[in-house]
Amino acid sequence: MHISEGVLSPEVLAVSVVLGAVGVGYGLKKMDTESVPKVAVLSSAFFVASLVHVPIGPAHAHLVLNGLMGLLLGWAAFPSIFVALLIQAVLFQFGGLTTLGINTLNMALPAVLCHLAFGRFTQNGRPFLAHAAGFLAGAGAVLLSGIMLAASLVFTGESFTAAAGLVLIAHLPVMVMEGFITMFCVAFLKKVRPEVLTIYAK
Amino acid sequence: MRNSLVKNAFFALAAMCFALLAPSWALAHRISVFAYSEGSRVVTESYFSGGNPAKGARIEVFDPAGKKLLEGRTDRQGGFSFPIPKEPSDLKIVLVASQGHRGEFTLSAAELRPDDDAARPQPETVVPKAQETASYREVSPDALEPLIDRVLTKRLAPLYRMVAELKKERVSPTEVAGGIGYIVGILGIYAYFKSRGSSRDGPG
Repeated sequence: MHISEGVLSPEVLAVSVVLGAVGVGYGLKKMDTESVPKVAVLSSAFFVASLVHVPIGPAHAHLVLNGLMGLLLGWAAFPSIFVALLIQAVLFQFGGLTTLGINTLNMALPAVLCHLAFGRFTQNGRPFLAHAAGFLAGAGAVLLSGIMLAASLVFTGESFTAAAGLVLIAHLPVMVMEGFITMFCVAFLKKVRPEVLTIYAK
Repeated sequence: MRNSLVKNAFFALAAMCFALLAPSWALAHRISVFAYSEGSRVVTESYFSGGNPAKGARIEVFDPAGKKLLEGRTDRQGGFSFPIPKEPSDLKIVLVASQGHRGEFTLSAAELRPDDDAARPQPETVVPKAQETASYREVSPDALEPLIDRVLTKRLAPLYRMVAELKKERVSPTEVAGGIGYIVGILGIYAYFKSRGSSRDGPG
């Protein structure tokens, strides 16, 4: 899911840096001091999750957890994911420094979109809706990230359908796993700490 | 106030448990390519960190000026070899796998030098006719040693480098803990300054 250095052209990277910066800036604005520990914890979880390696046939994939981050953080998923990617790039040379913009965008934007689409259902009273929303957010965020990754690779000359096909097939198990993980987290939090799910009073 | 402290502490504890358990099966997710010369060919080996070979990935070889000399695909063991180019120069070997993964390796011209021992003048270990009937013990160890040393150095150098490369692939729990520490630190500093700013423009 992380794009390495040298794959995309400087123009594409420059645009993605600008867009990523806008996202991170807006996320920081929406993030209040009270929620910083939550952001830090989820950022750490994302950081570790990317190290969990799932070999699938010839390809490999890793957990992303951006669906869960979107549900719990909303727009603050942007700075959260950005900080984790930054440390990964600096400490593990995983991903890249020039690709911070595009990687942040590819993983944080789906998180925000899932938050906008499914967020209010997790705060809903009916458990079935909340669980379903959790599953869809988890799986959907990975799906959208895969689509955005394939779209980014189009700029290298790969055909979109070929890249998308490969990415999505490789991440199908991850989508299902993340759907369940997110669903269980939402279910657990609803029972134990429901106030964590009510992020922004929309 | 106390409620949110408990909540945050709980979160931190859960995350730490996850972080401590995960590294035992954690593998970083990067591709690498390694190359060395063997005989008259250059052998490349491509793999994901953790050791899994990168099969069917594209390999491109460039000269220092950036001109592409050749390209090919790795086989099922992640290997790809090609004959050493006629013009001696550094070679930049680029590995491009799917999903945006990329790795590089530079092979210097010195390492590329093909086995041309036959062309080089032999040291005086060539056994003269008179000694043909002599047993092994007759060959002077002083003459044998530098020969063996030279061959071993040449053969072992790529192995040493490969071991060094592989050694740094594993992600240790210490590094993971360090990474988490950095994340918490960065966000904590940000929160500190943010809260100072808002308290400064407090009431009035």
